[in-house]
Amino acid sequence: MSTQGAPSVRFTHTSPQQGFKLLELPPELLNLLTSDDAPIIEIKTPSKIIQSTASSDGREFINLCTPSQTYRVRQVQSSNSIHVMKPSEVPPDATSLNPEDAFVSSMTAIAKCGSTLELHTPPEGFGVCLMLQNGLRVYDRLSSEGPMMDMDMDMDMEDTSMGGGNDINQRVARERLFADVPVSREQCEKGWVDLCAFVHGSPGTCWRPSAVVRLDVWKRVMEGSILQGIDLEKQFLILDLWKAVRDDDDDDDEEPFPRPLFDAVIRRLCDSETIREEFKWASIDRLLCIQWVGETYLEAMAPMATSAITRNEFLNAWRDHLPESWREEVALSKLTEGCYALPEPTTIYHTSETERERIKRGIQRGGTTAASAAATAKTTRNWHELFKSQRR
Amino acid sequence: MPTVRLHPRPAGTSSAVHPSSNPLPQLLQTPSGLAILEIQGTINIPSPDESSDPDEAIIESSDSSPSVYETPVGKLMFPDYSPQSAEGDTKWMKRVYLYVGRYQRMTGEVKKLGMPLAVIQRRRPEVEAEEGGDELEIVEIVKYKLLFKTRPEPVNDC
Repeated sequence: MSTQGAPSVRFTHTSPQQGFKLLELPPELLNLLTSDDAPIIEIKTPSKIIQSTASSDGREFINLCTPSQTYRVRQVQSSNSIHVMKPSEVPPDATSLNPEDAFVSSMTAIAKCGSTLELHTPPEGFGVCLMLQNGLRVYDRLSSEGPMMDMDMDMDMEDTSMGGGNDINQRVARERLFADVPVSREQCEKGWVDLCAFVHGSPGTCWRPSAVVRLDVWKRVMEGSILQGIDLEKQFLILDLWKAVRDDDDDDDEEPFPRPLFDAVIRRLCDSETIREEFKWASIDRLLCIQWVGETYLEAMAPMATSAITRNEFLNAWRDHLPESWREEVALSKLTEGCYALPEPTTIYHTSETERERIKRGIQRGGTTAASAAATAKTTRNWHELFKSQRR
Repeated sequence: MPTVRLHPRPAGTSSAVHPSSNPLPQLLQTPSGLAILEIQGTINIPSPDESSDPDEAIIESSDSSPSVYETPVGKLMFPDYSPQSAEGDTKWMKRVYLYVGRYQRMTGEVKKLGMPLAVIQRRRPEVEAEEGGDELEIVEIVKYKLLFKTRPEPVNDC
């Protein structure tokens, strides 16, 4: 066959070679990266503390995080040689080897990659809350236990003033924690809000309130709102509600709990769109609140199977923890699926995040039969079987 | 901090190769000029110390440091391609030749990648404005590759 006139490109190999990595781009990521204001992507590995819970098998992993999404990175070896080449800078006539060859120009291989990086999203999710939890200290001081000055860590009373310097301090502490959690910023922030996490104390410690404390805060909020006639469903000034909560105490200087904790609970219960002007105004999302109160109560009172309570007792207490007009809406179906378990026909308890995570993973394994495939792969010597589970 | 930053490809890269100096068909050209070639097997290149052999053709790169050199491998040919062919015409993609030396030829094709590949490189120190630590950079996003998955066949010098 004639190849006359066809473009012919000299092909060379450059030494020394350069180091490149090839990363497969799923469509959303490609769109993001080719957009005009492409963000910086973060490649995160979990810190030691967080790693212990992040992967059930204790294997190391790397996550690639866009501002809103997270992907698990998997290195896939290739038996083929993948060369990266570029137009050569050597003038085409530099060779005397084949003077008769009229090369247009040349391409030169500058790198060889034995593997590509693939991205995937684990079907069971990343367990953001579980990872975040490990970086947070549990705050379990109740308002009835008096001021927190006698707490064993040095808490500044000045902290309660939302001064500018303190604000920065808070942000720094939070940023430090987020850097250790290998998921996207948006997922970190959502987890932070979900857990009602807050920064408090002069060295800037990140806390998550225990369920008992959250319930306690909610009780005070509800009482305060009734006393001051604040309709939680309508827009209210957050400062008014905070005052209402504090006014309950006779002593004006004493706060029942740190202001950041109060803020964290309010933020958790607001539809994020209703928070206006840098957390000045808010209104509480009724459905979200009913669900959260039910789950928080259950977690506080029946955190495990051995402490299960009767369902009637639970439903009544749940109603009692809500404003009068919301009582009718209480029902087990309002709770997040899987957050509770019914060990006996009449009892109920709250399943822990760890337990849920384990169940979720178990279901996924069973569902995709990946576990069984891995099991058969171990006993087979057939290569196709052996690597089947590792392919997409 | 166990976080490495990966910078997106800067818009309108200054290092973009002038299109006329890219010898590949238009479809395979990228702003930076980078392209991907996949071979089932390996190209055996003599190791640097062996290449001092006088029989070995070494072309000193004119404008880079003397330690960088190119070893000729062969040539790439797109027998069915003509720059005049219509944009939607993809028939030429079915056949690409890679000559290795003068007497061996592999037949391959141009393949659109199922998922485009980002070519990532460690950021050069001079661009690194931020504090230390690894900074990576996407230097190119490649959508097509040249794939040679057959054995080389002997051919006459052409």
